[in-house]
Amino acid sequence: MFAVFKREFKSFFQGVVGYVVMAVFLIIAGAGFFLYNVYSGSASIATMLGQLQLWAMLVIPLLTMKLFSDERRLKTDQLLLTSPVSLWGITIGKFLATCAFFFIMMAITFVYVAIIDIFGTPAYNEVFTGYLGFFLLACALISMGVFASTITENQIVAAIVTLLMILFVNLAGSLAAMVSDMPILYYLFKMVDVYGRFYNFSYSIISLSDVIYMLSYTGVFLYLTVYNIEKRRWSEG
Amino acid sequence: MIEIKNVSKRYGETLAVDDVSFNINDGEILGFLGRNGAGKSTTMNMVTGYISSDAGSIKLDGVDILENPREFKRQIGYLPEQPPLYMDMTVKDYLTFVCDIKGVLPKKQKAHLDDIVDLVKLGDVYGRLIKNLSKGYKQRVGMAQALVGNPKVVIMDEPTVGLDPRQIIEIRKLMKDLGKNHTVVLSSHILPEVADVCDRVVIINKGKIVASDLLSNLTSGINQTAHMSVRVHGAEKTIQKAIAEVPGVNYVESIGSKEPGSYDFIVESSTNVDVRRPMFNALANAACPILMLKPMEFTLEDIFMRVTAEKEDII
Repeated sequence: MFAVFKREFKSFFQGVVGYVVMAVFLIIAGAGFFLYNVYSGSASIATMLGQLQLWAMLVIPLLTMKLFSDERRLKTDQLLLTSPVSLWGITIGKFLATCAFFFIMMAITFVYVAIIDIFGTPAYNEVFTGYLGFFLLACALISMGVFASTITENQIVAAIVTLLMILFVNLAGSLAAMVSDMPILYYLFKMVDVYGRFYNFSYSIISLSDVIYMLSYTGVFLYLTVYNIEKRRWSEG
Repeated sequence: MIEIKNVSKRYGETLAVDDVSFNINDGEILGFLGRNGAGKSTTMNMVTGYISSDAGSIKLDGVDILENPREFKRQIGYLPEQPPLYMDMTVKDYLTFVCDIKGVLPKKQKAHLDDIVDLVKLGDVYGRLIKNLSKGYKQRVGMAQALVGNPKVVIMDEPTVGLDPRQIIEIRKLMKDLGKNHTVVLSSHILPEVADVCDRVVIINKGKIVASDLLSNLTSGINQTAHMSVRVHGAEKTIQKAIAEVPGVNYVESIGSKEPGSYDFIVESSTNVDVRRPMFNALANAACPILMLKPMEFTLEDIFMRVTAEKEDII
């Protein structure tokens, strides 16, 4: 698992996509910081994080699109699947590599908190819970991207499917409100509403149930990933 | 030893591999042949664990691939038709990665890789990105990856395709060398290569095994009557008559003239009679000198054609 993690993590820095994604992400962060903090004189990074969270929707599919689709397309999965490594090991290795890359992007924005600290007092509770929630949300979305990359050989299709899935869960909260009189549908929408849970974090609330929800959500999609690969091995190879 | 028993694989309506059973014995170099679409690659993919069979069992020294896949795969090195290379890595990084996933201990990796790189002659390109290598070198990196972890069994699918003649000879030599310490399975369309390198041959056609035997048995077994071809200088009819009259000769046929003034003949005789001396004398008496005499044995090509023939092309 660690070998796969190392390889995948390095490859983010070898292609163009990793750098482009990081650049876009940091530009948004910088612009957000300037607009909402420097220009408006606010010490709260909540709005900047809110902006970043929207862009994460676009950025995460780009990070995850090649994870498994390229292995199939270039047939390097023949190396992985004929070696003494478990599917879980491969999946978690790739997942963690993507999370690590995302974490680095996110961590660079800590500098803005430091800047606020020099000139004022940041609300540290908010900073901590905001970033924690953001990172857990990212893990959940990344796990969806990992799964999507196993359903096709085509990176673009994987990216689009991931984006659609993320958009759907983003709207799930509102959709749930619309169908509050239909208990089954309401429950279904609420179940996938990962964004709703994320917003709790941005209100400086850390609830254990939210954390467990995010982690389980991630776990479900990682399980689906392994299941999908295993299924293919049995049916068509 | 790998035991493949009653293995089948279906893709939709087609039965790609149909109740296939054969063994891969320790220390042998096995040739695995078949036409395109016969089920060769599917079988190899199942034996290496890339895909799973619908029925049957595959065991290596008693270890079942489905029950203990990691232990099974630890003993196998596989070079598929398209080497599974990561283009964005250097040769060194790639082989180190393969060491990691095959479970080679970190402190032993450097020495192990040095050995492999020497064997496969990758020293010059060790630090280069794989996407910048020539086809021959890429193939060698593929071979190197199959050897990492010193697996008991090395399975190679078309390892010499696209290589230049010198590289082909080197790879064949390498395979023979490997055969001394490993079990080797070679799948190839280049029959002379298989005949040169392998001890035993398994032929698959339309999903079924149609031949499985030592090469020497296959090529001599079909050879019920002694075949030879002879080139004689002289008049066609005189030569034909002289040879036909030699006791023990069952069949003479002229196959034309390859050298001016001489004619080529196929001569068939019974196996227990060596007609060469009487034929020499008969032709000398007829003042027709023999220019060339060579035995014709069934080659692997003949056997392959025979066992993989369609109904329409049985001669």
